[in-house]
Amino acid sequence: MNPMKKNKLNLTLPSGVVPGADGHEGSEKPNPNIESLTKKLKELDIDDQQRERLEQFLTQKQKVGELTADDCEKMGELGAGNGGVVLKVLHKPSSLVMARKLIHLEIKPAVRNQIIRELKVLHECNSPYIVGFYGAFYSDGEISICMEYMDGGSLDLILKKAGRIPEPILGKITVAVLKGLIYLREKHSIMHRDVKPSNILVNSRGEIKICDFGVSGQLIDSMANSFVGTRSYMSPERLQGTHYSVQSDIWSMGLSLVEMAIGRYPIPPPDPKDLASIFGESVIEEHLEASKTGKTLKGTNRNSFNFPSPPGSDGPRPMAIFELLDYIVNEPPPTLPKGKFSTEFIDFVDKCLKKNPQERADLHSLMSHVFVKESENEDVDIGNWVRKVMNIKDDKY
Amino acid sequence: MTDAENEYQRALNEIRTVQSVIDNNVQALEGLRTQCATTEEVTQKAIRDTESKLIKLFSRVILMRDKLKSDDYPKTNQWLAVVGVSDEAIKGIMQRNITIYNLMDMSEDGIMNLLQRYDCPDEESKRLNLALRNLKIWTERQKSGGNNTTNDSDIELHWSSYKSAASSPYSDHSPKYGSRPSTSSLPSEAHTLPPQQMPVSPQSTPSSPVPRSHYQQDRFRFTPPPTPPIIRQKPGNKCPNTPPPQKTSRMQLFIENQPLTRSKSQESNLANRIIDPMVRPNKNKPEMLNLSGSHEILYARRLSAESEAGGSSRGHSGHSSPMITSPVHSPPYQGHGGDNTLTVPGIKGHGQMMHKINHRFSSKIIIGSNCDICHKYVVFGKVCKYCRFKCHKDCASRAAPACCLPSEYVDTFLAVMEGSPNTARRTTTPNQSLQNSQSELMRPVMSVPMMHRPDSSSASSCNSSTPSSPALMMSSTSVASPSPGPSPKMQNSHLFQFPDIHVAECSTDTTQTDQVLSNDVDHESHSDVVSTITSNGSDKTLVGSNNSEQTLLGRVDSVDSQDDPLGHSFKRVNSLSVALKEWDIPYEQLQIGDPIGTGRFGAVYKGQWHGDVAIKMLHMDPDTDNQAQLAAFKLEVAMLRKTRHENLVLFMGACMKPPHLAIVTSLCKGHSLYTYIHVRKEKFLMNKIIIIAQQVAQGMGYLHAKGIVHKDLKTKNIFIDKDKVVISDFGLFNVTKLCHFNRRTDELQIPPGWLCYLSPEIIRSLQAGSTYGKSDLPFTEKSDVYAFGTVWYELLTGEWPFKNFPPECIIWKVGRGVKQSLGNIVGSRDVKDVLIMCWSFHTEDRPKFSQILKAIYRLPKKPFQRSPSHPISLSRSADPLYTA
Repeated sequence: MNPMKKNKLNLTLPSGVVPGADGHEGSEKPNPNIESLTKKLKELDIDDQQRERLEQFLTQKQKVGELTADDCEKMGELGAGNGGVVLKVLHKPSSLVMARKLIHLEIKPAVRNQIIRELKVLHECNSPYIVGFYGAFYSDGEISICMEYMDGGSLDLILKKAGRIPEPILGKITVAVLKGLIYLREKHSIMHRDVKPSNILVNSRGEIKICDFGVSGQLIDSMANSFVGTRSYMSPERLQGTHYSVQSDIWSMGLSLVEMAIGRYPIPPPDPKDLASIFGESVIEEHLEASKTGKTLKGTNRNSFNFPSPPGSDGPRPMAIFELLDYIVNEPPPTLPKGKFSTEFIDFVDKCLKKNPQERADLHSLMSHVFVKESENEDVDIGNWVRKVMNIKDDKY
Repeated sequence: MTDAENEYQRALNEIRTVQSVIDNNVQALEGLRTQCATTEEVTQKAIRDTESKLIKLFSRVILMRDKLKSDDYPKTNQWLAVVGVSDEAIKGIMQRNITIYNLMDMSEDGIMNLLQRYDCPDEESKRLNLALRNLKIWTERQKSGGNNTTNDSDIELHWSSYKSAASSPYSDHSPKYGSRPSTSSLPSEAHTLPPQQMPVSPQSTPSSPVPRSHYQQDRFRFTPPPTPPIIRQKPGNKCPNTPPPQKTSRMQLFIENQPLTRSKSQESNLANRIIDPMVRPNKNKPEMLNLSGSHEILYARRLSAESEAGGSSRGHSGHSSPMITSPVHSPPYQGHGGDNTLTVPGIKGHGQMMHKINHRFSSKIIIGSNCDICHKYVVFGKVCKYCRFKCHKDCASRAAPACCLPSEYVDTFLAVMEGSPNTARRTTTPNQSLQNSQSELMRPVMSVPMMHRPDSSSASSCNSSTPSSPALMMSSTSVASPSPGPSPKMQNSHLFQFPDIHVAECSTDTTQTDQVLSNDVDHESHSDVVSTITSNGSDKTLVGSNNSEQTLLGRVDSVDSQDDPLGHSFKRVNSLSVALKEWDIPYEQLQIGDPIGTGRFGAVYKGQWHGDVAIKMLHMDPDTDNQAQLAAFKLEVAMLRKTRHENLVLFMGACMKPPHLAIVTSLCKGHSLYTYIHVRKEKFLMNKIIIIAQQVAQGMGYLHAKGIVHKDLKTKNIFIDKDKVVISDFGLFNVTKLCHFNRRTDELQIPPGWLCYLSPEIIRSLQAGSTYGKSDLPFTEKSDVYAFGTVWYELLTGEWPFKNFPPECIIWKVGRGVKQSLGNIVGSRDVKDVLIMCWSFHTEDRPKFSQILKAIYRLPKKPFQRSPSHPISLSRSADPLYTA
């Protein structure tokens, strides 16, 4: 409750992890020490395919060398948000397709170098659940962060196409996000800070990875403008300015799951009638089917809460930002509609969305939650679903 | 029961008829769109006209809904198709059982989102929104506005016009034309046509010559044939301008529309107008008369003005030219060169000058009235809700773009535009003075209201240049009014003899008329009168509108003479163009140097213009309605020019010619307070802090006394030049929103440090998404005081409050009334009291700057002896306060 808590955003950032941080302006070398990395990979609890892919990634990355703006040829735009654009680029020397995130910053060279340095932590982040990092550089007033290109895009895009995301898929997403968060926390002692559908990416190989975590405190501080949208995934305790921790990420994950499950940002809660109209009688089967066929589910789309529920009524207007935030802080947390999802899933979400961070489940207890256990073992072809939903024809892998 | 049934039957029949008309029009529109080259101006014109017509028709049906108790009409799918929504979306929308009524109830965002679901391009939703907006406005107008007509409505009503206007085939046409498309029916969008025209030539004279020549050309070419309006007597059929409901064929449309086009351009200031007469000779006498008359008047005026008023010339020229051009309707009496001051048109032109508020037209069935434009009989027409101007639907497009609003509306409009709290005050003062001054003014001159208008306006705009106006009036009157006539009302009754009658009117005892008129205006009762008098109605309406304008003029004058700060808004509107002209800096004269920063609305450059200046360049957002943007910009400029205070940056002028919009101020030497505090991390001693704060408070107090809300007070906008504090960027917030915030996003962009200057009431109003965006933020003097509190805090602590909190967090805290703890403030209780007062959750608890000044003055200037080591006792608001 103390508003003066000086919670520097970079409090939990690893300061010493930076390898070979020499701060040459605008450039940075990929860590050449692939062997040590592979060794690290062995410590991870991952299967053979995942290890293979990681190694493949690292091998490719070695070819990249020093990234420069000139080597990147724009292929398209993947999205924009949070003060930057994300481009799909072809790195010509290596013929690798990458996602290049550009962040416009008007900053002094020293600050810029610090950011680049801090971003190098990302070289260390090698996990099947974390979007791969090729490197970062500075050019023309912009910081570029080059990452693995995920052809399925982010889950918010997917959600738009899919209407809703079927429960079996959400189960897999939950597992991936949890493992990603655990990896960040255990291997790098950082928290994500910005878990939301648009920061969870998928590809047609069926991989689900998280990105955009708050690795550089300096970068966060330097971002010229912040953007506040019609959705906030921030936990109540964080909104109130009190101390927050990795538990905050769990709230964000829970909220994201509800959003993806019902097809719209769940605050303010949807009209029960609306919900009822979305979900058919045999939801579970429908979900099962959709997870295989990629069939579009009837959903309130993400914006639909601007839309009058019964046509003609002067429907809910978009909430003012404050109203929304105050709702999160003071009103009961969102839940999944009963009967439309497995009780395990409902329970899982409820545990994530406890307003009191102490009551909220932590990463490990969630990992052993029935929903997660079952989802882990379930046989769901995410890649197939992604391809269907996003209409990706050929499997380029 | 039977009555009710009959009623119902009748309604049903009517609705069916209308529906068939709609069908026809839709077909026609379809044809126009698909089979004609839409690049052709004529086609575009026709399309626009048809669209406007459709809006009106739909609106009619909507109005009948109550009677029918059914939502079957109008057909929603037809509506959507006509607007150009994709089939898929239509299907989807129909499936959802969304009717046109639902659509009308939805927010623009809602529509956007709705269409997005069907992958409709933004443009489509934009179009739909525009069309819906027009439809709503129109319908609303119909509902509330009883009877009359409309003009602009046409202009405003079509939805594809927007695009076309922007796309410029029309833009070079005539200023008016260009502006027309943009004109939205919303009152809030101010259109400053006149300014636009005027600015063209920075020098005083330029504008006038142009119109004149046109006029002459026109006249020579076309005048001879023209004759009075034949068609009036036979209501339905002849009038080319009236949209006969049944016309089905495209051909017909064209024919109808063409004249319109011309006439419009003419109005704007050009020649084409007269073509009309040629087409149907004999019939349009009135039009012709009007035209020539107005031109001549102008001409005469100009001459007189030029000759008489050397000094006043600037105001003069500025004003006069637009007027001249605009008055479309004075009758072209062939023989009388400059005399005829005919009425209606003149008025309209005038209106144009004063403000660019569009008519609020609504479609009506007008019984027994004649069109104010073509003077023919009207059945289905449009009526401006405000000024009671009425005309055929088709004629509407030819109506002067500006509504001769009653003063109340102007006030409201201004209030909206400005969002400043002082509106009320302003209104009252000017109003009162208005009538008096008005009658005073008018009397000597006498004459038809319309005549007054232009004259008085010119006079008023010139502020003190009395000579020109009287002279003009005299000339016009004498020439124009051959025979003394009855009051305007009388005049009205004789529609057909329009020209003559008018003349008579002119000679009438002005005072009386004026008074009558003004009364009407004031009570808004005039509308009733107007409506009741059938044949005269139209004219009357005009008169009424005249009055209102006059009223404005009067106000302006009074305001000017008193230099009443509160009245500035009026002045703005009325004499805006003139006043602004003085401040117009030709872009070419500026030498633009290095950029010194980027503001919210664009880049700021160092530059040269008679010395060092700062130039704030405005990004014109291509998506924005340029007219609205320009109008808003000019309003801001008009406000800036009134600021003269030691602690305010010196406003030097502005570039007002799009696309180069810029504000030129003196260059703030020295650094901003922001630089001192946040970049250099300088710590100020208490006495320095007090000096700075005092000067800021003084400057702000002055601004508020002038009725100006800064809206963006922050340390970045406070400069320290040696020991002097200079506040900059006041009142520009509205402009910024136009540039920036029209971008559609889901998100609200929050510049660093911005939030902590926002008072709780503003924080609570923040909306993500552009349409809401910052446009409606309730900035007041009190919110400036809150911002001052933050500046005070920064001075004391060297930090922003809520430093390092994410924006969402700040929004929630401030919105909830949680305050930054004062624990880290080194200072006495009094020092914190200032902060606590300024940061009061409730606006009424916040002090005025005069009080702040006193409080600061009382503070000990010596550095504090007390050690800051007792944070607990000092931090009065260390605990979160929940005031909400």
